[in-house]
Amino acid sequence: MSALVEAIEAKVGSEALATECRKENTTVLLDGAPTPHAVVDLDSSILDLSERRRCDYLFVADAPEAGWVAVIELKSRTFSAEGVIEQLEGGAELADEWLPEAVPVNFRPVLVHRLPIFGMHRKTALDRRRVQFRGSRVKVQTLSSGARLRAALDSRPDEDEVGHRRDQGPRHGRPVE
Amino acid sequence: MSTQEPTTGNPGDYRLRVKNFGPIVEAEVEMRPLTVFVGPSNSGKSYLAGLLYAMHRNSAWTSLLRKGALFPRWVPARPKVQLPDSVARPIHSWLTAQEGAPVIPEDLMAELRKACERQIAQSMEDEVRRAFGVADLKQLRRWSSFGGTEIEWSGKNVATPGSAVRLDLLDSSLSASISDLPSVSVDDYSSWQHLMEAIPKDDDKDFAKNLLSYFVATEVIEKLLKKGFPSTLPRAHYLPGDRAGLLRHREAVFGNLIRNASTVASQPAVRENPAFPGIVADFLEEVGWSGSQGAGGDYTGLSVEVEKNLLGGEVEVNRQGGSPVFLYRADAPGSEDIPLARTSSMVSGLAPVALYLSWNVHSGDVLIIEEPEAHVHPEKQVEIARQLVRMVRDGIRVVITTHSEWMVEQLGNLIQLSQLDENRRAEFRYADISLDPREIGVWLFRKDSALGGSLVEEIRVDPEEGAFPTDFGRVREDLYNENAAIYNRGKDPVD
Repeated sequence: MSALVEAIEAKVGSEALATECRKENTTVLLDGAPTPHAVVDLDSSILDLSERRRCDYLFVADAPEAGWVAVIELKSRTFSAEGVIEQLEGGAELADEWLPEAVPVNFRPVLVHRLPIFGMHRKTALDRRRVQFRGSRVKVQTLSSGARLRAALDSRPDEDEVGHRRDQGPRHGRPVE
Repeated sequence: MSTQEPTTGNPGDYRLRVKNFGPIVEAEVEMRPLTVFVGPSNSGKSYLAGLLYAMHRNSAWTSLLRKGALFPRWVPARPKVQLPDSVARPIHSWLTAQEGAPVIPEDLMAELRKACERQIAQSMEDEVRRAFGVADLKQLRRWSSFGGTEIEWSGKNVATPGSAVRLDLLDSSLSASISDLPSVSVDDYSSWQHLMEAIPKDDDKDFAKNLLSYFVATEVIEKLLKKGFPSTLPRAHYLPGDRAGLLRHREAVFGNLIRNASTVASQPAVRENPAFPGIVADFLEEVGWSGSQGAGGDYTGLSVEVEKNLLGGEVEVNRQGGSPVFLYRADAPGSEDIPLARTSSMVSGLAPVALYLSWNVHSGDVLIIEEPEAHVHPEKQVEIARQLVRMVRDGIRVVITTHSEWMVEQLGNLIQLSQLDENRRAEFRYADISLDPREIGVWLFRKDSALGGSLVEEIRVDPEEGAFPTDFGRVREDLYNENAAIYNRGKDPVD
């Protein structure tokens, strides 16, 4: 069954669908994401959303128990946490309008950033806000550019999917004599 | 003293380049009034801090000359000057030449330059070995490196722009080269020539000729170094990361040393005396000067601030028994003196800062502190950052290694504060310690598994973020996402 994907394709039309999530030099990978899925480019001119507050992409996937809805904002430069929250809220509102209410979904707002900056006050700003989608009020999850979207959907992502690789450096042995 | 004028332009503003040293693959850092090394554990921050300390201890070129250390010592009991032939011969020829002139012949100048380089390499080798407590400098080479270890410094203490002192660690010893050491002229040529002529041309008088050559060589080299290095690096003090334990147990350590020393003559020592790296031994010695006659730093006022704002009490030194006993008294009614050994790790870790400011540190000195935040609550870590900036404001050059995101964030805020105009800045509580970006250098050590060591890069405050892009953010982001994922999973309507 692909109720969500079929519904969104019918609503926005195939021209608004994207095969990748990329803005400027910032990207999130779709490998390993639940299938079937559809990605809506909310900047697509065919949608005529220029007057609406919105994020960059809407990801929709069908799954056996519950579908997935992820609203995605990509930031290649510095940004305000408050502004990102508003954009993701706009994406959630669009998803609410477009998707059938009868299908149960789990919802994730996702911020993808290119700069390796996560200052304390920005963390606080993200932490204290929630993004609402229907009955769920959830926290924004973040990914570094180049990470897989799956990392924000899985509760237990693989180690290399958390957004960046932790570099533990070399094993330290005795100095070479 | 508080001023918004950046305290830059000091002879201590030099550039240091290091390759294959400890875990460091390559680093190039510029020393500023406040220099901060940040990055993962075991990435080489303390190696670089220790090297800086050794360099500062070893930079007094002219005092080396006064000690006559450029050549093997003249031993009065055996009246013989051990001047190398390669130096003595050109000096003899120069002073006895019929067509002699005050211009130093190039072959002699080349030999004297080599003599400078040999001495710098030898003294630096001794000092680095001592500071790190290693018997063989090979132990400081990056173990997985194929290239040699290089250490090079250049800057305002080198007269010619672009010139540098370079040390290469080959096998177990250092070799030095100084680029662009200038030539010098001499004033005393005539008197030296007359003295040389007055020495009878007789083999028995080699001693007199060699002695004269020795003084000529020393004077020319002194001129050479004074011109090449118009100022020496400031004096440095090193507070090691484990200073809390060292200070608490200093009495026990020294007691053991003294007990062993007293039995050495009559019987073999039962246990070996403890061996310390120079940075630890110097700390134990220097902190012991506290309260002694003749000791005294320039910063009693800052010391009082550290006691009040960080320690919450006073640190006293009791020298009635000869060696110092360190005591602490909390700022609370009815408090009594207690030995530092019974205070918290926070107190014994920061007490040396207060003691050094009172008794050891002078204007322009470099204070190197490993992890000043050790054992300290975040609220006080932030205060430590402010105190460090106060030290910089008052003319101390500060170098720290740190894992404290709180301190680094506070420094970022003080830099942001300096960007406001004076009226707006004055509205803020810490306007007097705003930090000009030119006064601080923050260097991020990153481990690179592909290279098998660490790389070092300067990071600057992001103007929008108002913070340094350290690697703390990655840890914070991971924790945040873990938290968000748990929270969000709990909100999912469906399993």
